[in-house]
Amino acid sequence: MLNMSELVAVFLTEARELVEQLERGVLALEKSPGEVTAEDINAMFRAAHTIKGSAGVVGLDHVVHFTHLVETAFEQLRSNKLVVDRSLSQLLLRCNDHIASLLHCAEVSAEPAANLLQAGDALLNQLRPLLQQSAQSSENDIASPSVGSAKQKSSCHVFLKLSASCFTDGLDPVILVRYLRQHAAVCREYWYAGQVQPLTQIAPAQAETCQLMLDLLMEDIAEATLLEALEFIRQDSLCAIFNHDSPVEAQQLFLDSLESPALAQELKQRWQALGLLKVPVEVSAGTTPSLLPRSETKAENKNQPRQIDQRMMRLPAYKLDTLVNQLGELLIATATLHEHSRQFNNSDLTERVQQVQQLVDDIQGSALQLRMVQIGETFNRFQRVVHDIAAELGKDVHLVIEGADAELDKSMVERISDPLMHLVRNAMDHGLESASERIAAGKSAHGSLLLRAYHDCGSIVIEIRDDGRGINRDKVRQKAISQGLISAGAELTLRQIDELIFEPGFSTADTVSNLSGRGVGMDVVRRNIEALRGTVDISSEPGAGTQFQLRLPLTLAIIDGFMVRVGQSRFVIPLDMVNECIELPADMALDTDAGYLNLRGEVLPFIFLNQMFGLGAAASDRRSIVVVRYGKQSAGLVVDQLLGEFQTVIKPLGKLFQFLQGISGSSILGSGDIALILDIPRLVQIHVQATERQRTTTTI
Amino acid sequence: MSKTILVVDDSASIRQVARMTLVGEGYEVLDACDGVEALKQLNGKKVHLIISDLNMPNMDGLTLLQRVKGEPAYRFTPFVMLTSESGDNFMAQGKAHGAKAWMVKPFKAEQLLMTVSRLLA
Repeated sequence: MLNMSELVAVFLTEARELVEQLERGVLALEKSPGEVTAEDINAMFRAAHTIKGSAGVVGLDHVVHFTHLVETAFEQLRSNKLVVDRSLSQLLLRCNDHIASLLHCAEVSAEPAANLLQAGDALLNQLRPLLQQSAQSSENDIASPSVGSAKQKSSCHVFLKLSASCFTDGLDPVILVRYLRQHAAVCREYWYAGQVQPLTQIAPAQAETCQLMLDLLMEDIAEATLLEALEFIRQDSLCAIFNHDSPVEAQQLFLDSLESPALAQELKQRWQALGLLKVPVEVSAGTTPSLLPRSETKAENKNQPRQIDQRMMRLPAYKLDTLVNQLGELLIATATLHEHSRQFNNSDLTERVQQVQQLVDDIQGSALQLRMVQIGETFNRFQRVVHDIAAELGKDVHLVIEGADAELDKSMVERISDPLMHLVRNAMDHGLESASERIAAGKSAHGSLLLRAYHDCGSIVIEIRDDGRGINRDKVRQKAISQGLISAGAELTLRQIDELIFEPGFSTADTVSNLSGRGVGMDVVRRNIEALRGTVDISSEPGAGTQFQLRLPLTLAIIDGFMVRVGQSRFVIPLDMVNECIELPADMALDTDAGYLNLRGEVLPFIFLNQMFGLGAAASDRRSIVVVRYGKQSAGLVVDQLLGEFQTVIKPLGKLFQFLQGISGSSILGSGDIALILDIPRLVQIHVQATERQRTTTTI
Repeated sequence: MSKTILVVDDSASIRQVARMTLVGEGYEVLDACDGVEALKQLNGKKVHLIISDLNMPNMDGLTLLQRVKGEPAYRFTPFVMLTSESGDNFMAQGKAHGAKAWMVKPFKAEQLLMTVSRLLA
């Protein structure tokens, strides 16, 4: 009946204009987001919206499907739920190109090729994680249009108490009944009114209100048709549908659910008179009446569990920080309370205080959980980065992401993305070879890059692994010598050579490329990671690839610590790093010069904390060694007394002390005293350097 | 007497398909590309149904809804809003001003006709 080709032509002309408009908009957004006004973004949204809507009208379903998410993206840009960055704008541009390709297919009246549709899905998969959750659920709505139950026809009884605003809402119940008559074999209608006041007493405004009630008896009507017909009226009016499937007590349940007992009574009498009232014979538990009190309430009930799962809330991060901070203070106050309460020897009091302390602990746990986000968001950004860099370098690189659901603190996520970016670029520039080189080396033509995250010992580990050429140790060594980082004759372990690439100013790239090779990079990476109380490990196998392993704490705000005393000072060691505690027997051979001790046949470097921090000679004879492990490195710390586990909030060191080596923060104890938190990796490093220096001096 | 429907949408193709569909079923159709033009078109004329897009330049569907419902002549005129957004809060806003619109997702021709016949049968 419709001249579709003419319509498609109109659509295509319009859509092409809109696609161009979108492109200009996104480019402006990328170039100078500050100059793009809210109305500009709104216009872009409308453009996407119109493309989608009109495409649906002319039956280009793949355009509808694809544009839906793009439209959502602009919708979220418009409501500031989404912030433009380069990768987003690039993605949007590519999405836009894709829409144009789809339009081109429609223009030549061809079905889009499978690979084009796949490319579209790939784009959507990139776009989807950037969008808020709510968008995706609405997409599901579109994907599965409400079909209604099959063409089952049956007789039924519908009761309607029309909403007061029914008439002004543009709903004419007579029209509704007329419509139903066209679709049902038999339709009997019984109208009656609620409390109507005498005409003289009705205020003009009230005259518009609808007080009507209606019983409809229909035979042979499709349930889907009925539900569709009632779609609008159910939104505000009270509506119940009883059919032969409804359990007999459905009517009673409906009557019981009414707010007004008088109305329930009236309906009961009325239905009885009409012969509609069903007498419950037996009450069977577990059957649900097919009862539709206002569709609003129904939707609410149905959606409730889903809302708990999916509804999202955005709030400024500082609010969470404040909460966590305040809870930290509360934790300290509770600890103080606990300590004081013990003096009273009142078991009731102690018990209650412990209860409170437990609760505060739990709350703090929940509060910290609030800040946890999945790392996937960060990882997925690398899809495009890798794609672009690969294109720039002319290499074929496949990115594999694993463990995207591993969670870590929000503040952490923000701060690791730069170092990760460096490592990924580095791997692509230096690590992975060109296709021809790879084939010559007997490898697959495309390189692969793995980004992997997992939790280990209370830390999160992020691995960046490539299957490239590995580190060229000879080259690194020569470069380090030429740059004066090491002496020509220095003997280095393989690991030490690998670690040279973290030295400031080190670069092996022969040519300074756009991406890396400027000598800023790896040292910055290491510094950034260490600033987060993390470490970077490198392992490389020539010809087979290189792996960087970042190990980071899950959160920066709190620490499960193990407290020790050295002299009069207390120190906290992050509990995750404590492997074991051993008593230091007076006669145990401590090779102080070497700085190593024999622990069950293994060589364990140890550190006298009192010497390290200049706390004077040890007072006690019975000292202990805390064996700490960080990554692959173990070390023993000699302390005077073990004080046990202790959870604490990290207070940063003041400006004056922030460059202090071996101390990462402080913590206030229940007693009001201060304990310093040891920076174990740094401490071990300092110690190792110190002993090595000592050794070299001794050998010389 | 045939009934008149006003179609408001900034997309020319949607206006065209709506017009073709509705005229084919014997309705009179007026159309407008945004809220401002819609108000000009109305101007006291009797229409039986208004079908409008939510997002339009110059004057959006919600503003149009409120303006139209503010006119005594259109107090009882049903208003259908085309939107794929979850516009619940928009609609609540409208409702608070005594202006109710029925939300319908962007349609296929048959769906449009069914909705119209439910409101204008």
